[in-house]
Amino acid sequence: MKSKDSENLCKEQTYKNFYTSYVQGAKNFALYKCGDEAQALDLTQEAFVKIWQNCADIDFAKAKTYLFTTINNLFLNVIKHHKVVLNYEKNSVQEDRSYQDPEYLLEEQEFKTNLNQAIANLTEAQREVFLMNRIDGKKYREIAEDLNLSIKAVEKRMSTALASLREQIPNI
Amino acid sequence: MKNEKLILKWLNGDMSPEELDTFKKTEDYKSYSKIASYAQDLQPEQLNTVQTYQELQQRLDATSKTPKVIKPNFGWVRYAAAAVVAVLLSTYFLFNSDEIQTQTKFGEIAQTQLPDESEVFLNAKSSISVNKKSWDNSNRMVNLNGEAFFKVTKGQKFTVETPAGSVQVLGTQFNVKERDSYFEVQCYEGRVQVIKDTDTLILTPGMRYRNIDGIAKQTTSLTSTEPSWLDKESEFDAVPIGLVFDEMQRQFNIKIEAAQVDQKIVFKGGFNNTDLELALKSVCNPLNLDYKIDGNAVKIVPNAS
Repeated sequence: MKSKDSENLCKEQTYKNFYTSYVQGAKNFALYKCGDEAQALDLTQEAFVKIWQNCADIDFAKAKTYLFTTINNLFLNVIKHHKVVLNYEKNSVQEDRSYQDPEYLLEEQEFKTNLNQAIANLTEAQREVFLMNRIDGKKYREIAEDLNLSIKAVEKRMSTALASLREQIPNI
Repeated sequence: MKNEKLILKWLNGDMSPEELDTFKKTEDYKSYSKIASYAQDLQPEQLNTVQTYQELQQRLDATSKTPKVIKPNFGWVRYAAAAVVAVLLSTYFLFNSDEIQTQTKFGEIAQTQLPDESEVFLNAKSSISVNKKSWDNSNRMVNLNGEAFFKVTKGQKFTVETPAGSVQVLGTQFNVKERDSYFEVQCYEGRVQVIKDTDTLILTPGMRYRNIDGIAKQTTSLTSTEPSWLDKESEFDAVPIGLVFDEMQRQFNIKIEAAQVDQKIVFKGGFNNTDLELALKSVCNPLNLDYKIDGNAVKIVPNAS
């Protein structure tokens, strides 16, 4: 059985394309799990090492799922668990905000803090689905594919995540 | 949760415009849209995949010393991969009958590989070419125009020819910068021989040779292990201001007009190659200069106050 080069992960070119396409999404996924950028990248790289080592045994169509599953397994092996808190994009330019009403700014700040806290309090399953949809802009179908879940399950997690977030944030 | 189906549909981006209009009127929309849109502002770090891929390869080299994979694959496949990288970085490879050429445009960096697996990183507005037919592993020869960082695999003589002078090595890492009247070679590893007009000298790690308008200068004990432009920073160590502006023009594809600025000023410092505003600030502020951006043109004048 001889597969085409473009679907053979043992070919370095194919492997590299695969890496370039999915490394960011995979790293983000790891981040939603462990909450630490350096550790997330480390887990992701380790997962890619595993893929290279097993390149002959992995079906190209399943490689993406394999990647996310491997990250999940590697994560479960890591003992140290951080609380997942993400950072907002830095607003380096202050000028363009200064015209805004300080009260509004304060409220916005407070909302962001509350939201961040609420996200940190979600269960892991809820958080990864919610953030993969929001931050990475993935459809439920794609998330289901990545995590090897049914679309129904993804929707369920999404809606419990939303309910939990809304409940936790006061005066919304 | 009320309206659960609708909310899920909305977050998945599946709503028709009509449905969206109706949905926007509901009480739920207000609160959930706030949650949804603020959550989008959370920013995980963006990876530089070229760099992380290199780290991955080091990791692969370290983990699989066992006979498994890698080695047998690496011959021409690696070469093909290098070609893909070059294309990805919107460089183009010109397969003339016997010339391999790689070149970069404004603000680009490209990586390419030579027939002997030596690696070359090209800075903005630079080009290298190799004659494939006359390539010989015992006398490796590359033509360079601009600036490049070389990681040469060990072997016989390796020569970089530039219009300003030539550089000869065995197996090492070094950076060559040739821009009009400016010629600079910095050695990061191994030994590098520089031939400029009648001068011939040998650089060891941490040493730099620089020639501006025919005036040569040597510096020793530099500590960096790679040129800063690989990390999207341009750095200058006491370089005439005009050459700094030249580099900025190459990185951002702009036209700088600075006739009123004293050309004798030398600049020590650096700027970021991705953010023009920031770059201008980091050069102009310490030198007490003002800048004005107008489309592709930037005017720089001494600060009036």
